Amino acid sequence: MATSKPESPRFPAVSRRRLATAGLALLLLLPTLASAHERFVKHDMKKPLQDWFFLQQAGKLFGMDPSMIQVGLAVSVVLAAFLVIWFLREELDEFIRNKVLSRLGGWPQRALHNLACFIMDKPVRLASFYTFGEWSVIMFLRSPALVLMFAATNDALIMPSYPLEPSSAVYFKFLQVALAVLILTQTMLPLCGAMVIGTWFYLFRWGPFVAIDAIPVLTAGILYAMSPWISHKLAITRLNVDQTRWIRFVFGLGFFILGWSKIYNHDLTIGVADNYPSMMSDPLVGFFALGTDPAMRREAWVVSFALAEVMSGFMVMMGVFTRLWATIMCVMFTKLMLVDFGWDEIPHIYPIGCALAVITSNYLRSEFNPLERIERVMRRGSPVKRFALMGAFAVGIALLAVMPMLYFLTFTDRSMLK
Amino acid sequence: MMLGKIKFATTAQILGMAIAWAGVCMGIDFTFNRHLWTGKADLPPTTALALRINHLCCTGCLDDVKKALQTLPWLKDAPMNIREGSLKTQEQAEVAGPAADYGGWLDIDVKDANQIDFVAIDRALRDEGMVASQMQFGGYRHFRFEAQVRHMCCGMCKDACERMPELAGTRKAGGLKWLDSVTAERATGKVTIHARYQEPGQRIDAAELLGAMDEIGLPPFSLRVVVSAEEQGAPAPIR
Repeated sequence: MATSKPESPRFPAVSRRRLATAGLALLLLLPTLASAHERFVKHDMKKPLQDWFFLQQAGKLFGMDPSMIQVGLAVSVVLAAFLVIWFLREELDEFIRNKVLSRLGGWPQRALHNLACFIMDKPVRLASFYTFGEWSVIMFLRSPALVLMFAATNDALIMPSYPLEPSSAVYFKFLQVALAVLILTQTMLPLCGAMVIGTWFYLFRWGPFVAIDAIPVLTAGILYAMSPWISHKLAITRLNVDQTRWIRFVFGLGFFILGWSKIYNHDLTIGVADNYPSMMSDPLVGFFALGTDPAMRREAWVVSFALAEVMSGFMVMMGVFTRLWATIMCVMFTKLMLVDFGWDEIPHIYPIGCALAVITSNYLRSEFNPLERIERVMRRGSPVKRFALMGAFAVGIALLAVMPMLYFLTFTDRSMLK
Repeated sequence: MMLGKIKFATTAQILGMAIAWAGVCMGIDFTFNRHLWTGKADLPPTTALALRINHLCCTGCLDDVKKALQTLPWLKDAPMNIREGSLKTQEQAEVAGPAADYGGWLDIDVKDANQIDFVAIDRALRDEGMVASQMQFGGYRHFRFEAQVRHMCCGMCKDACERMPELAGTRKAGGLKWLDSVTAERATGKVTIHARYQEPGQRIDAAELLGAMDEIGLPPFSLRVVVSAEEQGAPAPIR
């Protein structure tokens, strides 16, 4: 049975403003003390980076390193391309339906239609997809309990990378187990949500980077907080419109901010890559770094890697090809867990659950509804004008999403990271 | 089945409970982790070398430790300080009751890190009847150790040296985390142990390394620190 809070199609404007303010406040907190630490995933650098690459440089355009600008522009171009396709996807859908699907029949037609619906975030009307969706929500609902139990047995708080101080460990461990029991028995889920969110607030005590690293935990908190008080009596198997939207937004926001923090804390990023060199051969990241200064290969890789995360986080956050990007994230997390980092990254099981719950939701919406409405209205007029306007919107949004923050980061003081 | 009316928590309720829960966490933290709120650092930041002497109960023990260490020319005039501040005199120790811990830390300011030889320290202490279970070294962002082994007769000896990180039980038990890689030269018997880039204030334990070399059956007769100019934080030329 789905938990059914009345479904409102939009966030209230006030909530959105609050969310934007909170996001901005979070970004402004970046230059304060950083004490995030990866206890299990190795992150010792083999060779130091050229710190000046990430900072303002006299005599350069915008004071930024040309390689950095180049990577930023490459990411903006790819992001803009995705946005253009997104804005004009109805055109594409029409083409597929009228020119491709009409010539096919039977199961190939249905399969292609379902695939197109999946990629374009439209409802997928398949019994197996629906069943898998139900399972995904149950997995997402319960897997954080396993993560909490795992953390408790590893003397850690939520994630094994946040070790507990021995003097207080026993209290936090028991509290985590109590929370895990509430989650597993689906008892008072709103209270569980508040406890998860409250624990996230507490993480700021250990520095903003710890809290930023744990933003994805909030997705589970949101799911619980938006569940009914009598959750123990219900089978919660579907996300409603509001839950889907909040979870998708926060999930994307987490990666968007984590991407930026990877540039800010570049030594940690390259340190992990030094220990797991297979990370350096990602084709998309390699594409973004194409043509950059060969002497700055490692620095350009850090920026490319971080901006790839910014881009994917931005698209999920804004609801652009959510299923496609969430699927990529799912594959990436599974690979990190099973291939690259191994057992140490087992807590990644809950973001995988979150991504699956979002992927299988049939209530996916984009945050660019006003622009899509303009596109719909303009369909009656000249297609060239419509394409040009949508292209301009896409380029503008892509540049705004990437370049100002990249520029802002060149002014930040990283001395507290040393 | 009686479901009753389905009620949801309001935003204010969730925020209130979340803030209250964060307060509980902070309360536990503040009550039981007072030492973390005082901001006192556990280690003196400038000392390059620190020895954990397993038996250091009184000034008599300290005199013997100092006597042993001062036989090494590079430690002759080096300032040595007890981390605990002061020790009992021999007279006081004579009448003192049982203690929980008879050991202590000795912090040593070494002028030139390149002169440090951990095997020499260990030997000097043992000759005087003392022993250090930990020999911590830090203060440099990057350095390497050069060990000299007497025995390296074949390719397998060389291989064993270079595979020390995976062979040694210390590493398997979670130790030697700072160790990056090992290279061995058969002709000279030189084993170079490369450390990973260190965070400021981070320390490594050379005694752990000596133990690992014992474990693979190739004990060194010297283990020196090498801190070259390039590795103290200057940009690395190789990419």
